[in-house]
Amino acid sequence: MRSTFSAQTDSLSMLKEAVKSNCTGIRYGIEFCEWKLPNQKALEDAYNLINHKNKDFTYITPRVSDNSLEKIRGHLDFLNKMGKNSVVVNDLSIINILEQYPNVKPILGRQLIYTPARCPWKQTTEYQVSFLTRRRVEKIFHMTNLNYEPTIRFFQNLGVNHVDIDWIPVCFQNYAFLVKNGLNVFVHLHLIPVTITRRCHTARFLKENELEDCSKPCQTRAFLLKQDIINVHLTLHGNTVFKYIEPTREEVKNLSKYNISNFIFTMNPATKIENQYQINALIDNLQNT
Amino acid sequence: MWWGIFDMVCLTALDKKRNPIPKILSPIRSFEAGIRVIKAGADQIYCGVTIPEIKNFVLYRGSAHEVPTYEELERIVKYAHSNSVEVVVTINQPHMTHLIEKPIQNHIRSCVDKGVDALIVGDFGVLSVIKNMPVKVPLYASTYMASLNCEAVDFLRKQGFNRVILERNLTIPEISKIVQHSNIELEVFIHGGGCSNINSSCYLYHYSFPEKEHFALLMKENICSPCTIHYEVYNLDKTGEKLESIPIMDALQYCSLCKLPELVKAGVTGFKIEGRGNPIEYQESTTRAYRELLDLLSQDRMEKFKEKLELYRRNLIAMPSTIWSLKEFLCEQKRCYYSPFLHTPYRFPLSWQASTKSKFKAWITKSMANKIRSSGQTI
Repeated sequence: MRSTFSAQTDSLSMLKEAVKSNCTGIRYGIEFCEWKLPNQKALEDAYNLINHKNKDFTYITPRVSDNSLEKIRGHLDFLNKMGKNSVVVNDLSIINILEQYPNVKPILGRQLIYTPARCPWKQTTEYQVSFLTRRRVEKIFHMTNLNYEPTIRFFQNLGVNHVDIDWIPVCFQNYAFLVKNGLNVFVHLHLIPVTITRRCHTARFLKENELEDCSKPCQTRAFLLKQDIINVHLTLHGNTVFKYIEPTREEVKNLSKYNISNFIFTMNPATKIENQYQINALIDNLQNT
Repeated sequence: MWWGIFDMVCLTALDKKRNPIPKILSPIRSFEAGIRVIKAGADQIYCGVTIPEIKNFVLYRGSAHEVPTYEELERIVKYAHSNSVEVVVTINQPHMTHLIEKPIQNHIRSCVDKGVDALIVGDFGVLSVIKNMPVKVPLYASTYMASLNCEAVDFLRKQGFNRVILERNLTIPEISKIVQHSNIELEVFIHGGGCSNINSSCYLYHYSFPEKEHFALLMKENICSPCTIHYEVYNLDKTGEKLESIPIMDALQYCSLCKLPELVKAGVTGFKIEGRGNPIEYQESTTRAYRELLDLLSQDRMEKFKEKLELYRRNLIAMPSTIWSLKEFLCEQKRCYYSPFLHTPYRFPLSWQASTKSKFKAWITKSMANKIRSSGQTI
């Protein structure tokens, strides 16, 4: 099975690079920060750019407050008018309003899927327990909250047939359950969200004045967070702290056994994928031949 | 006569609408705590209960934060009901799989059998389990549902929830807007050790924090939560330059005493105090403080309110296991729940740390519990 690779970006200049690359689809919008939502014109420009190049377009939305939701309504109006489109949903409110936009289909975003294995710490239980108990507990930790049929049915009844999940190799075998239950799965490479805030850690660290008027330093900067006592390295980009895992071709092949072959990579300073050459190199490196 | 009664009912309803005083929800983890917070003025109490079959599966709170047995829960419920106080149990699972379906079903049945008044639910899988069981109990949507806006609240209402607990990261104007556009009970957090991150998307504390490393941190920095520890911050570029060592995620200890008038005006149904795992004395003294201040607000005694507020700021213990007052620990550090966050200094600037160290030496000669009790009595 040949894998597909889609680029995800919130910047029009990076989007232009992605358009020129070998990726199969492009996701435009913002996954984690409502203060970085694109304006209407930027969305329309992005849509037209991608549409003319025969690549799949998907719009991404973050968790939002009421003010940002108003902005998203305008975006959904536009996408609905343009015909069949997909939107990544990370807030229950957007699922609630999607019935007003029959052409727009939801993809369940990572923030609506609970995945305990995103946790960066090693230990999995509170107590000193037997080997068997530890194995059982680990098994539960390596599942997502979609590893339960009624939850899948719940979301399917709301029109969800596609879901976004993380590149966490210990969870791969549990992703097969989602595919068996009729979900199409997209796997996000590299960055696994460990924690997200509305009170942006980057803006605070860089002494921004107001979130509403943030100068968006995250478009060019990301940070490495090291904690030697607990031996952990994390990546801070914008309002989200990530665990970084480098994907390998072997594991891409491994995932194809479970009929999972759609991958997403994010273009930003944290992944250091910012131009068409870096995109093509990544795809060449991971493509399952 | 009937018109008179009708008028009275309408006026009472109108009065309630004009000046609704939210219920105080206090945390507990034992029967004794239940008695103490009810006496201190809680309108509702909430707790988790250890699920015997999966007690090793700890996503967020360990069993040290929970009522240990269903028998103890039953005693709590009986005592609470005899004092017209409701008991809410948090199911505490933002995660459901077929491997834990049976234990969760048994758990819900046991809690409902003991007479609890509502369940807090944080996952749609758990919701479907409850809907498929022959139990009728009000359901509260947990912060794990991350409700940040009117439409999310409306979605949860349609799914059968009776109350929505709003995400901690909201501002008071945002809360007011949600209240105005929703026809469901809404609850907000007002006090306690809190998160700078969105609860349902935070995986820092979901596995038990590594024991050995945890101990090392406790010894070195006297802190225990992964979101409060110092991280070395490096530029993630070609230079890889080290910038600073700071607690960049910097979880906050929250307080809303000063913001109570605004929060009451916002019109929410419930005020929740965080801290199921905290010492009873802390749960009790915090509940008492909010009870007194809310009662003064309901009587429009603003002068007395201000006077009491100042007293509490000076005397109420800010955080368990410390001796610092709210004023020292929170106000001077600009750590206020509903104030702008970006300008808050990172925890423990050096000069402040030096002064607290000397206080710490003084503290070891006193019993913390006595200190808390005595401050409560003074007030």
